[in-house]
Amino acid sequence: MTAPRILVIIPAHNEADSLADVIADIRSALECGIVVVDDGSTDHTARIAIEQGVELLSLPFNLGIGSTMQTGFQFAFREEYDIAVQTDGDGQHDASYIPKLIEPILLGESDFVVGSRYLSDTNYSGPRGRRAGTAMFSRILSLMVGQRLTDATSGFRAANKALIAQFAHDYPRDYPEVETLLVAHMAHFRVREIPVAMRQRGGGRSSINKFRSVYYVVKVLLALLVVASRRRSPRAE
Amino acid sequence: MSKVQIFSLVVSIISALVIFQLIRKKKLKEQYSLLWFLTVVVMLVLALWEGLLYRISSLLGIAVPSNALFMLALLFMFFMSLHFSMLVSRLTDQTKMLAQRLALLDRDIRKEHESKAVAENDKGS
Repeated sequence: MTAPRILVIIPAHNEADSLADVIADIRSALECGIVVVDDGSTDHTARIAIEQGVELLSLPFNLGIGSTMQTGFQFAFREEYDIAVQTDGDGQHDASYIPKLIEPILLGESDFVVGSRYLSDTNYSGPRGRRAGTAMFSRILSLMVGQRLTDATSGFRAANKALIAQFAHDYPRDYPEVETLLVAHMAHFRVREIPVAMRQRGGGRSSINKFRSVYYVVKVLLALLVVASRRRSPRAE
Repeated sequence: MSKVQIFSLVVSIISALVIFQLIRKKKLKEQYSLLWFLTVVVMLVLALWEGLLYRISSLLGIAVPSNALFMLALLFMFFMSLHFSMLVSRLTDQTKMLAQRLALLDRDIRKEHESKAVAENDKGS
């Protein structure tokens, strides 16, 4: 059997300051393909990606994190990668956790692995509002999928080949994290969390500011309702 | 013919002309213009047929006929907006898909150029 091919997707919107470090981090952590999806950056994010010799997908204008990630999944699907890892372009995610993240998929124990900041004694202390929001979504999601989830908004994840195909085809446009977990569950993918530590944000700014947080909460709740209202497809064996 | 009827008639005719002109200049797709023409026709009928609005309002149990008119107009506008929201959603989706396809093709072309450049270099050396 040939070794599974792994692609790390870095969605980047104006991450020129941190991108080189993020790429170096990933390269030191594991052997893998790396693709930067430049979401209409106005700085030299694309140039840095080319200089670093990684794959670059350049969106002509800003599409938002969801559609940016989807572009990465489309690339992974087309190039027939076995596992796609999504990470942030701002250095928040510690690449040394990637091998742990993909391990359950390599062992065939899980289809979708999420790195959780809250699963163990990790010392992450994000903004309070964000933490409360994550806790709320995690609790709601846990009830919906019947499985304990602690970090529904984590963007540090790994998906197997079948899930790559699904995400390449359909992915929420914005604030996709919570929704995709439910979508995966509804389609009978096995979801698992593993504990990770996250660093405080490097360069760049969180896409979630105060004015948008209301939209965020409402949008995600509505999306969950919509996804849940669809009938769960019978398990295909 | 009462003053208000003449006024409504003039407004309707001007609206119809504006729509026709927009289609002629290809600024409006025929597909959408039909709906607007229908609107103008309804305006015309209401302007010319005096009793119609009274009948509609008494049918709906609305005391003042003008209120019936406003309500119908508002409802119509509501559904038009909804229709346009749907159109915008679809266009947004299509734009997104185009942008994603472009990003992938752009990458492929870049790769091709690179491999060509490498091949040229090999030949040169």
